[in-house]
Amino acid sequence: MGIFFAVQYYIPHPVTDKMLTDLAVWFRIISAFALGLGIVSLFHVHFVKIKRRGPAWGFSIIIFVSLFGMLAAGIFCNGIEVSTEAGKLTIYGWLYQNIQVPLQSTMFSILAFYIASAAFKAFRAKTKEATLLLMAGLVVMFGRVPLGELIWESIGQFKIFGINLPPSLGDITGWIMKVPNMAAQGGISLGICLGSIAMALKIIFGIERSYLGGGKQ
Amino acid sequence: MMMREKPAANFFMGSYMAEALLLSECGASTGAIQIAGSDSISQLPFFITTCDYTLIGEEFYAASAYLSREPILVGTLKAQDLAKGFLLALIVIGAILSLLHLPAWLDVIKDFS
Amino acid sequence: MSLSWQKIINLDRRIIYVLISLAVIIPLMKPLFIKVNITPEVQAVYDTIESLPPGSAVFLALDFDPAAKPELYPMAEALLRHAFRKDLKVIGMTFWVTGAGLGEKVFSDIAKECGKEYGKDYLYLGWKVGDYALVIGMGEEGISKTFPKDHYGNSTGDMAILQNVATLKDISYLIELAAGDTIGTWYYFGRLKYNFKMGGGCTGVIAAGWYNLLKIDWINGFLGGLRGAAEYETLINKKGTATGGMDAQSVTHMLIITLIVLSNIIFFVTRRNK
Repeated sequence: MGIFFAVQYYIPHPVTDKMLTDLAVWFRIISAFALGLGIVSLFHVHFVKIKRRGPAWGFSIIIFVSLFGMLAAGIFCNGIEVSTEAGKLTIYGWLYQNIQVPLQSTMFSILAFYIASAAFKAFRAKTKEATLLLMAGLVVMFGRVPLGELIWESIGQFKIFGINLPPSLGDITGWIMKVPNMAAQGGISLGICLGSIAMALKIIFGIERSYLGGGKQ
Repeated sequence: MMMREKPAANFFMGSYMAEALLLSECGASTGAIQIAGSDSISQLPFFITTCDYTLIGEEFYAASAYLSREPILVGTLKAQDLAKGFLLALIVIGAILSLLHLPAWLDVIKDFS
Repeated sequence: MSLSWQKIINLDRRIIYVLISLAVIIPLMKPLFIKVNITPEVQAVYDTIESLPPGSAVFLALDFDPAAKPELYPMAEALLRHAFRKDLKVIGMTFWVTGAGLGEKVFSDIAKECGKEYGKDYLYLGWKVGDYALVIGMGEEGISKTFPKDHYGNSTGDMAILQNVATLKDISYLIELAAGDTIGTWYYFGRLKYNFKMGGGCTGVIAAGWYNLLKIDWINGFLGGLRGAAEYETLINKKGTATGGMDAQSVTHMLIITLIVLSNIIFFVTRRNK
C-alpha cells in the first residue's frame, strides 16, 4: 500500500487516479475507526487510574466529566453550535464558545510569559555565534512591530548614489527572513526530510516495527 | 506533573507544536536537565533557549544510531548522508548553471529534481 | 558578582510575568494607533483577491483551533470581508475538529455583516475525518460527493454555490490559514494536481518557515501572525482586533528587547569585573 501510494504520484494516469480516489475513501473509514480507538484508549487509561486511585486521579474524573459532557451535548444538538431557527447558541455551542475556546486560547497565551522569562535567562552573547543569533533576533523583534518601525523611521533617511541609507527596517527584517533564515531552514529541512523518507521506507518495508509495540527481533 | 514529581531529567523527543515551550519552560523552572530533539523546526528556538542540549534536524535521527550502533540505524544514517551528498551536488551544479545562464541545463536539473 | 547585579540576573520569573501582563493590558486599554506598514507578502494576497472577477470561487481552509484563534481568527474575518465585498463565492472547511465551531462563527458573523446568503454566496462544510483523503475526494469525485452534508446537516447537492464549483479544479484561489503542517496537504494533494492559486496565513511561530514556500512558489503570498492580520485589516480599511492587538505586541516586544539587552549588559559588566 505504501509503495503504491509512493509510486502512484509519478504515474498520472486515470486508472491510478481512480485507485487513489478509492483508497482515499478507505483512508477516511480507517481514520474514523482510529478516532474511536483513541477515545477507547483514553477511557481505559484514566479508568484504571481512578480504580487504583493513582496520583492525581481527580484529574481523570475531570477528563471523564468533560469528555462525556461534551459528547452528550454534541449528540443532543447533532453537532450544531447555532440553532438556525432562533439564531441562538445550542448547549453544545455554549459549552464550545464559553468554555473550550477561552480555555484553549488561554493555555497557549501563557507562551507569551514563558518566552519572556526564557529569553531573559537564556539569551546571552557568550560566543560569536550566540551574539549573531542575538543580534538577528533583536533586529527581527524590533522590526516586526509598528512601534519599532516608527522609532527607526524617526532616525530619518538620506540617499547616497540612489541608495536609501539607512535601509528601512522592513527591508532589513525582510532580508533576514528571506535570505539567512530561509537558507538555514532549508538546510535543516533537507536533513529532516531525508530522515523522514528513510523512516517511511523502513516502515513500508517492515524493517521498523516499533510503532506496532513490538520489541527487538 | 513536572512541578509535583520534580524529575531530574526531561527528554523531549518527537513532533511538537506550541506545547514545546510550555513543557520545556516548566521543566527548566524545576531545575531539571533537559534534552530535546524534534523535527519541528519552528519549535527549535524555544528548545534551544530552555533546554541544556538540543538535537537539531537530522541529529535527532543520528542520535539513536550513534548511541545504539545498531547496524540498521547506522546503515540508514549512511544512506541519508549519501542522499544528502547527491542533493548537495545537484544544488551546487544548479547554482553554477544558474550563474552561467544556461537555461537548457537548468531545465534538466529542475525536471530531474 | 555584586549583590544588586546578582538580584537582577536572578530576577524572579513572576516579576517578568507581571511586567508582561502590564505591557499587554495597558496598550489594549489605551491604544497607541500606530500605523502598520504593508509587506509584499500580504500585499500579494490582497492583490490576488482584488483581481478576481465577481462570482469567482475562493476556498478558505480554516485549519486552526482555539489555541491559534488570537492570530488566525482576525485573518479569517479580514479575508472574508474582502471576499464578500468583491462578491466572490466562498467555501470553507477545516481539518481540525476543535476548530469547526470557530469556522462556523466567523462565516456566520461576517456573512451577516455583509448581507450574504448561505448556500448561494457562501458554504461552510465544517470538519470531516480524512485529512488528505478529503482533498483528493474534493478534487476527483467532487465537493458535494465528499461532503454530502455541510456543517449544519444540509444536503450540499442542491446548493446554488456548488452548481459552478463541482471540484477543486473550479476554484480560483485557495487560502490556507494554518496553525500546523496542513499547508503540505493542500499543496501536494491539491495545488499540484488541480492547479489553483494558493495563498496562506499562519501563526507567527511558523511564519519564518513560510518564506521558503513563497520562494518555491507553493504560495503566492501569506499573512504572518497577528502582524499579517493587522496589515490586511489596514488594506481593506476595516480595523479590527488584529490592529488593536498590534499595540500590545509592540510594547511587549520592546519590553522583551529591553530585558534581553539589560541581561546582556549585566553579563558583560560582571564578566569584566571577574
